[in-house]
Amino acid sequence: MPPEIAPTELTRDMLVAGGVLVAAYALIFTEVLHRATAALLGAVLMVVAGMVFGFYDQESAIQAIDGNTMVLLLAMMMMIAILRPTGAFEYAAVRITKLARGDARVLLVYLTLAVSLISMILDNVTTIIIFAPLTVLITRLLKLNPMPFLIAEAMMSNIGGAATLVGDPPNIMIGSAANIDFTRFLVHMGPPIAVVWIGTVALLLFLFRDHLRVRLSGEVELDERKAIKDPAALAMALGSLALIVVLFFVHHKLHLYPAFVALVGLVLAMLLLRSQPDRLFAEVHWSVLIFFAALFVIVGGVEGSGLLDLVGWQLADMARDPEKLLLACLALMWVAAMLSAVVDNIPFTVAMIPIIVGLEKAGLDIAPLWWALAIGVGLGGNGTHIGATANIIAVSESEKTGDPRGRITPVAWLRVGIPTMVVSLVLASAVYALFFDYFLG
Amino acid sequence: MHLLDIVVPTDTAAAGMTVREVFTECAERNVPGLPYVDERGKVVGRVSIRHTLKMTCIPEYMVKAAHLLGDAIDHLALRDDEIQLILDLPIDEFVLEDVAHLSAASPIVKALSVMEYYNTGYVFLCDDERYRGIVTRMGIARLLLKRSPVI
Repeated sequence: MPPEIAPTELTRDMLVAGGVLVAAYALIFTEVLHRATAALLGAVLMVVAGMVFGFYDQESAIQAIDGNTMVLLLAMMMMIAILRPTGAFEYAAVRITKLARGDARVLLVYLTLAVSLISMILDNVTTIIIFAPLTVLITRLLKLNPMPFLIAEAMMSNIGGAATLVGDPPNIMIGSAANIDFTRFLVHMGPPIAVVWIGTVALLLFLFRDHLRVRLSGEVELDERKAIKDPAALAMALGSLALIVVLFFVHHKLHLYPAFVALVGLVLAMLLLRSQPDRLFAEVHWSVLIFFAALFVIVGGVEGSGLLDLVGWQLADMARDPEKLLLACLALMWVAAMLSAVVDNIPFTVAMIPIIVGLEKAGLDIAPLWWALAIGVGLGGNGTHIGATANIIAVSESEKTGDPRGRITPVAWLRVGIPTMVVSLVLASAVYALFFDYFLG
Repeated sequence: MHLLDIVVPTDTAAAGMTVREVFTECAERNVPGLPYVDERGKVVGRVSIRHTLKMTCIPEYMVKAAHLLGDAIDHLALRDDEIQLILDLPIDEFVLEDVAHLSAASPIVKALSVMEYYNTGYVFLCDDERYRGIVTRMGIARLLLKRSPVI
């Protein structure tokens, strides 16, 4: 794409749009209001400001909402609502526990591997919502401290989700904005995330070595066969999910959006299982979807004002030199990770996407920036207990154990989270830098 | 058929009472809960055995996987010292604010409807804010049997 004419000065429209963005993000991050309410307020203000000053209008606001992201998230949420009652997750958790044959370290590796793999396709928050209470029960039955397992599962579900286009909402947004298909995403993110996964598990085994140095006696007193209430329903649900996964790998060749592919599998599952739509819709996290849509509208307004182009052009000079490009990518990765450790990574991702798109207008190869952003927001969440929703669920579940040893305090998380985040970023940066040509467009 | 025919008079729960005292009254009267009254004797809440046991004896993670549990889980059972601790807890921590109550003139069908609405197995009978006793589903079932005996 030929370079466009660079915006050079800050205009009144940019200041107004930037002001609304900062105010809305401040409301979201300080949690003065529920994040969906704060984002909706910001979206309404942005449209009003845009209409008053002439840089944004209602039509542009609606166009700013990424339909592929929204529908993909909706379809996968409904797919989870179909899969959840089948008992497949419970079956897997109990089976894995029995396969560990009394070795706490093996149990930790198996459980984290399971949540990582599930999180590559399904929402990792749901995975943890299901696995965390089971993990507490399993560890109580085996007389183990649940804390290491809960922390490890949350962290590894975040890492697993970072590997695929559909594993994490930021990835869906990045893939949709950059037109990256499922296979290309997996091929680029898979290797660094695999290295990070191995390194992180090894680190967690070391950090929790005192908790895991026990030989467990006896069988875990849970019957996995009772988890599956309707094998036929499970087979149909898994078959539909398998179809979605297969279509994810070829959606670009068929010229289908990932969202449409997810819808195909969802409709098939609904037909086969005669699912009640009302029940499925009731399990959709509407506040999350509204939050995302409102963020798109807010950032669309900032884009309409030209502010993001200006920011992009300022950054473009820094990244134009190929050697500096690697540095810029690594800087983006680490900044994204640091911010994602303390604040919600979605607003950051939504704001960064048009800036990176803007860099393309300045004639830059932006492909490596997408991967750097995806790695950063995906791994940063492990740093603190509030860095990712899965972490919050693990902490909340640890508080219900009734065992003070098992409670995950913010400090307890930081002791493990900071080294884990740093080590995973170092590993990802090393793979990224060593094979930088691979990440170029 | 009158609710007064099946009402079970009981004591009430109030601030300062223990779980043990409430459970003792419930067990003696064979009722699943008691009204909780303020210092003026007005019913302002209820204490339910089910809710109290749920809050003190069974962790949520066990409920979620109850269908998978085997029988050899004795080490998760409550110890004697834990039971003592639970029974000595003040009942105030377990008061539910949703109170279903009716007057003595209310028909049985209204009592059943109110029980369904509040998802409970009992309602309190109060006249002019004075507590008369508790009406349970079991009491209603007995009344129905009495009204239409086997010929």
